[in-house]
Amino acid sequence: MLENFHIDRIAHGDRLAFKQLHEELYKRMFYYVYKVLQNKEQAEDIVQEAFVLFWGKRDTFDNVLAVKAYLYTVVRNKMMVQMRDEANHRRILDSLEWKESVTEDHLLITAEICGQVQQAIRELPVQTRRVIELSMQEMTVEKIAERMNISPNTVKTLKKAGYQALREKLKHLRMLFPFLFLS
Amino acid sequence: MMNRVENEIRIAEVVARKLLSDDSLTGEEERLFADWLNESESHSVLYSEYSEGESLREFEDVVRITDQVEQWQNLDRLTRPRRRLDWGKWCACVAGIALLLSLGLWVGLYKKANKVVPVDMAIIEPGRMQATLILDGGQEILLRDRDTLVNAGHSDIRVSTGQIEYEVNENIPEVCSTKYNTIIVPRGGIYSLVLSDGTKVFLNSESELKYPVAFTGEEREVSLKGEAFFDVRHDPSHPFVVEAGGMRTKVLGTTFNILAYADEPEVKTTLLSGCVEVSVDDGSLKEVLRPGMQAGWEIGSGKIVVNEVDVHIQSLWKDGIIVLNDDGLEGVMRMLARWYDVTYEFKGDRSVEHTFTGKIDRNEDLDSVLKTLTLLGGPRFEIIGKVVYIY
Repeated sequence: MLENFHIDRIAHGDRLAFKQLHEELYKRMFYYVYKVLQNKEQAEDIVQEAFVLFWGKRDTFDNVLAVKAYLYTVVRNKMMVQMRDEANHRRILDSLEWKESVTEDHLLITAEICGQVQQAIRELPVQTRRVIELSMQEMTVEKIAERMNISPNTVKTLKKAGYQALREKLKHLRMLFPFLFLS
Repeated sequence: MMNRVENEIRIAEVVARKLLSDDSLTGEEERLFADWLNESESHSVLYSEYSEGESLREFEDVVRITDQVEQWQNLDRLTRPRRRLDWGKWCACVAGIALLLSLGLWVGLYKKANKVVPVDMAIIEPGRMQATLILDGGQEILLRDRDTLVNAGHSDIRVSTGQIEYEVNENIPEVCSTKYNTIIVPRGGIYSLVLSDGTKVFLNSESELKYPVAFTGEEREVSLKGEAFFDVRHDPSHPFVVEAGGMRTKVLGTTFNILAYADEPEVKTTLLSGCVEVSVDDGSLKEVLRPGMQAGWEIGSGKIVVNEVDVHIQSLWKDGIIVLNDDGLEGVMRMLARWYDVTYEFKGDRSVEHTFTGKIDRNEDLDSVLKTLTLLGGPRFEIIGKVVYIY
């Protein structure tokens, strides 16, 4: 996941690295905007505009956190403009209400968490991935074994391996944000 | 704003790790996580939604309605860099040509005797001034970049460096008018000539021009296969007519370029100055061009399409420059194959459409030109013998 981002390569105009960044971040950005605006086209447009703006100043970023913060800030501002325009138009919401809903903090956190977890799970081998997905739906080992037509022991092994792999993937987060753990 | 966003991203990282690997948090991380959890009632509700997978299911339901691949394709189109050589490189190219030309002259004049043969690498050299002149009687004369004088009966043909000039003996034009000469420029060649009326013709690689030794009829008529640039001597009483690939181009006195290769889908006439009339099928389709216009006729079709183009770049080939203006890979390869006398074969994924914009020095060897194309975003090339493989 995150460790696959090559911010330096993107800065030098590497299209493949840019594509990988989009693959990884698009869905969570979309979720974030869609949850506020509840409009698919608007959400897609706003996320696209943010990526276009980012590409235009790609050489000014040197770490993943800065890139993410930039993208989220751009979409957040664009959502505010969008909602303000609509509010002015319809005179339904007052200025306080729209500001409140956009900055509801859990949306960004939820988007980030789900985006990361989904991405990490997606990178697992197919069978392991299925076991993890089912156990995340609170399904017991026996039920999963039944559903997937494999032995409970195999489920246990896959589950253990899956969580181990996810742990490994997420370990890198600490290395990416060392400053976070120094203070 | 930015700090707040950054902070939320950091919290999200820690919570994500807590969810998936709760034993791997450091003390600092645990504290950050606990602070967030205790910050508000809603946070502990959120955390249980995360850990029970509820949020993830909802997330997946939401993102299912959008298509990341499609969105990437749109973004890719919007942000893809335009493929062009920068101005500096272009200037360097021109300087390079000038240098090469002057060097070429000196080397040609003084160093002819001891030619240095390169070892190991097979370098595919660009085309040279070469052509074959076929006289009326069928006699073939190989033309190289050296002075030759050919005496063909009633006219004197003077051949100088890369150029033929006709001097017709004025008192016997009737005899000459029935005599036709043909000049054939092979792949990898380029040649220019001055016809008996003073019209200058620059012939591109793999091109053929048939013309009378002297023009005596009402029209000055020649026929062309391939590509040529004409600078026609003005003579309103004797229109100059070029027959090429089924299209007739009729002019009084002007400069224009005609492209009519058998392996190109279209015949194109581009007008730089003056006025021309193009027609096909015995005049059933007809268009009059103003300077700056290009007439294209897809062979066999019932329509001549007229476009405004940058006419000067259309004829730069005669000055040793290949100009690409959003040209497709296949067209570029056809042209390179003619100039470098190679063939090509597609090996890789052909679903990718490459287009190129920029200028290339035709005096460079093929390998350098192909490297430039790759740099401009094109595919990878490999030269084996006289075949270019495209990946």
